[in-house]
Amino acid sequence: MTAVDTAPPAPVAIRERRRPRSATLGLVVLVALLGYLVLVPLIQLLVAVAEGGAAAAGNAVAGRGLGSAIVTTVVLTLGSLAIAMVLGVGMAALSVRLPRGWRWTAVLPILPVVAPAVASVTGWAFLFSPRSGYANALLRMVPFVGGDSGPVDVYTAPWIVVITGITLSSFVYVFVRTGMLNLDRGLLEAAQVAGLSPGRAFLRIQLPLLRPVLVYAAGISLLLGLGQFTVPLLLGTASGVEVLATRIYRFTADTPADYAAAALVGSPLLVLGIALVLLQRLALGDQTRFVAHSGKGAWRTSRPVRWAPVPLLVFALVAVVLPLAALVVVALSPFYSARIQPSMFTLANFTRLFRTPFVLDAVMTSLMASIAGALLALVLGYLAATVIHERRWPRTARMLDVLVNLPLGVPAVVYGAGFLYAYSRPPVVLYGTDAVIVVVYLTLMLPYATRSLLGARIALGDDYLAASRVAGAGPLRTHLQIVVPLMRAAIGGAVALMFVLLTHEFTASLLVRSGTTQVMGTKLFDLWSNGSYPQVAAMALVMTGITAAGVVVAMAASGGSNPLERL
Amino acid sequence: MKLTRLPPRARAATAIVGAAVALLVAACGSAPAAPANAAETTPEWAQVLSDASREGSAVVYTSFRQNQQDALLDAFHAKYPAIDVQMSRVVAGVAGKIQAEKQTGAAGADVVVTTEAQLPDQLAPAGDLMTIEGPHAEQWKGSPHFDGKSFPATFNVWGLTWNTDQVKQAVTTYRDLLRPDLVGRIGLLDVATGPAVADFYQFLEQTQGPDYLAALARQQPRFYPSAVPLQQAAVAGEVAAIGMVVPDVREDERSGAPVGFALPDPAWAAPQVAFGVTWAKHPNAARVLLDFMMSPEGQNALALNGVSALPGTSGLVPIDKVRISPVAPSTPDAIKQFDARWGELFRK
Repeated sequence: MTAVDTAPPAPVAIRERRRPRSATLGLVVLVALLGYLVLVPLIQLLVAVAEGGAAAAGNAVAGRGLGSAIVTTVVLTLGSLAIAMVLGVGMAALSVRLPRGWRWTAVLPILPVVAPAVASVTGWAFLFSPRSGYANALLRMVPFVGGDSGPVDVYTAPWIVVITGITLSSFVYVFVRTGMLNLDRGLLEAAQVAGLSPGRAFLRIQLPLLRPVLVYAAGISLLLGLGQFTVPLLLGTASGVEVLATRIYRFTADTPADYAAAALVGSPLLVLGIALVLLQRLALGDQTRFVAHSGKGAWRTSRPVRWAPVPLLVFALVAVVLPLAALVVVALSPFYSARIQPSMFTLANFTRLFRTPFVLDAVMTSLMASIAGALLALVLGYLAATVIHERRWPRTARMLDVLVNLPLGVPAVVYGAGFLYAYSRPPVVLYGTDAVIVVVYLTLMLPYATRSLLGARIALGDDYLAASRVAGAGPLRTHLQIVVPLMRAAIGGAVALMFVLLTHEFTASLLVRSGTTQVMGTKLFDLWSNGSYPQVAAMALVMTGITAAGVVVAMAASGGSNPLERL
Repeated sequence: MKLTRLPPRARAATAIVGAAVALLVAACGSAPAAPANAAETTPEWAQVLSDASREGSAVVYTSFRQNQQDALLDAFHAKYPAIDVQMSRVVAGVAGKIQAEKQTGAAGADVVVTTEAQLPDQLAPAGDLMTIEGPHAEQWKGSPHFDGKSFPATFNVWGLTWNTDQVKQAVTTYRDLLRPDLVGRIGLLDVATGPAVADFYQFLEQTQGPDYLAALARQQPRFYPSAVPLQQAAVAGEVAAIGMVVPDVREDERSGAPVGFALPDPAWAAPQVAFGVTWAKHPNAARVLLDFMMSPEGQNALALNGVSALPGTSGLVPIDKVRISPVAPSTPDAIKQFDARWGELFRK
């Protein structure tokens, strides 16, 4: 203290004069950069609409099926939301009542999020193709089922809803489970003292307390359902099932591409996405009145339910293990058919896959772009989190908060169309280069990076910073030598999580890829559209393997806890 | 091994050995006389070969099937080991992709092979097509199939395939697709897949009668987005029979898949049109590849699934045994009209 008190005032005064100017300049650069990354693709789409005018509107509504696509989108969204909420909340409730020795099963409902969607959807197709699906063949052996087709037709709208619902249930599970773990045990004890049965306590006490979490989970699922692209694209094409997202994609894939029509079709999704992000920001300020944190977990010590692991195991079996097993069988077979013939198993499909031009390139591009995108997002996310946390510029902080969260709210297919349009013309022409993939990935990961680091930064508090500044360290030194080392676990976890999310990114990649610049997911889609099924399965397994390796790294980097729960 | 690094004597020896191999291949394949070897050794062509070796690679967006790609690459790399040809199967949207590459200057296709036979005519007015010159291109001059800018690399014929686990009786004619046991069990391509598919449906009308398409629609077919998934569906047993299959399905049959294949008479064949683009990043490698595709060796490799336009080249079937697409008017208006009529039958 003495040293500080007796420090010569002049240097401090100089620093105080210079710091705001350089900091302000840095802030302007940061806001401009983030604004360009996040807003320019969307603004460019609006410009395309303005340029397209009435003709674009005509194209958007012309042809067959716009009404049908809207109805299918609504049905898909609401249907999958209902399935996701029931499954997600149910599994979350069971996951906090697992018996000792079975608590590891709590991670199982998250696996469908971790597995690349484009890979698991192909696995579902191999299981439930009406005539040749392995699971269908087994189900037909059940008495009273029979027939030579079905009973499930994975290519129809109802089953697309079911598969989407299962995928979304993992998101609901993560949010609701985290909310349940944070509930106050005292409230549960009070309910029991008052004579409520566990079921009634769940319905009357816990569910109302979880309302913000449930609303948030439902909002995210609603948004993901509205923008759902992978499942309808891969499974719906054969039976003519089209949603708004696949319609947007087809407008951008047409010759010539009609961005204005794509933007018009995507405008409801865009508006809803932005509205959700703004609502979420508004709700955050008020949510503490609902949450009853007391530091003593309620459900961890609740009476275990012996059968609780069973539904979680069944879910993992149906949602992850069986599709993966189907992929393995098809990848090892010379051709795909309902008859499994182990005597014919071969690794030739993998050999052939890696001899196919651009496959290895696609794997390398995925890895490089994922690493580069995650690291760049980390840097920008750190700076954004710092500005938001410190609130030296409150208005700018609030604006940045909304800005970095936009890519989470706007469906990837809408953003993808914007990226393609924006980066195929001056001033920044990146089409056909690996750089466009990196920039797209960086933009998509901004919310994840900022949220992870903001959470860790809040938890860290300001005492260390104050001490560092009092000791005479400048802001740069304080961040590099104090804040960053103290947040290294959060930083490692965030990078690893972003890497996992990016290695199986499909939707935006499909829109911005070129003939020679591909990533794993888009190459898999090309094989699905134009290649043999065994090679599709082989590619899906390669993609799953790389993502799985990323998950292991993510778990290690985040200290063993599930990285998804960090968000 | 780069040709430019060879001493003159070794180059001469290579030319002699190459000529001998070409003669042998030509004799075995009942091809016409060996290509103009004198032209292959002109200073201009030697410079093209030298520049192509320096470029080192060529990128092709292609509609060729895997067996055609393999056969062409094996033959090409045996002759030109210094040029790495990378083929990417691009069927839908190839025009959009190459236009985007033209506008942005992005790396992409040097050579395009497509079933969209009208594409060269659409690109030519803008000067987008490379002039195809070379010793073998010389031999195509005067052919109705070659205008100096594009040519049919091959004509893929379409036959019939049935899954032997699903149906007991072979499906060898288009009339067989109307059998009662195939109701709800045949696979087709949507006419929106491309102009060639519209032409094939009109071929069916011409050869099977004006009521055939209506009868086919009553069979409640299942539709697939492109030809390869359709073929895979027949191999998997997802559909019992299809009438729009390229003969490479016999490779699945040879590997044990429960499928049979038959070529109807007459059969319909679609051109796989090849051209180079003027903004190619590897223009000389593209020229060498295009010229090789026009050679008897290239044509023998590519005609695995159908017919060659080069007289004397052996293919799966002689050119006079097939009806070459287009068999019906292929103007945009004509295709649009047929699309509407097809829709009334099949999109009820």
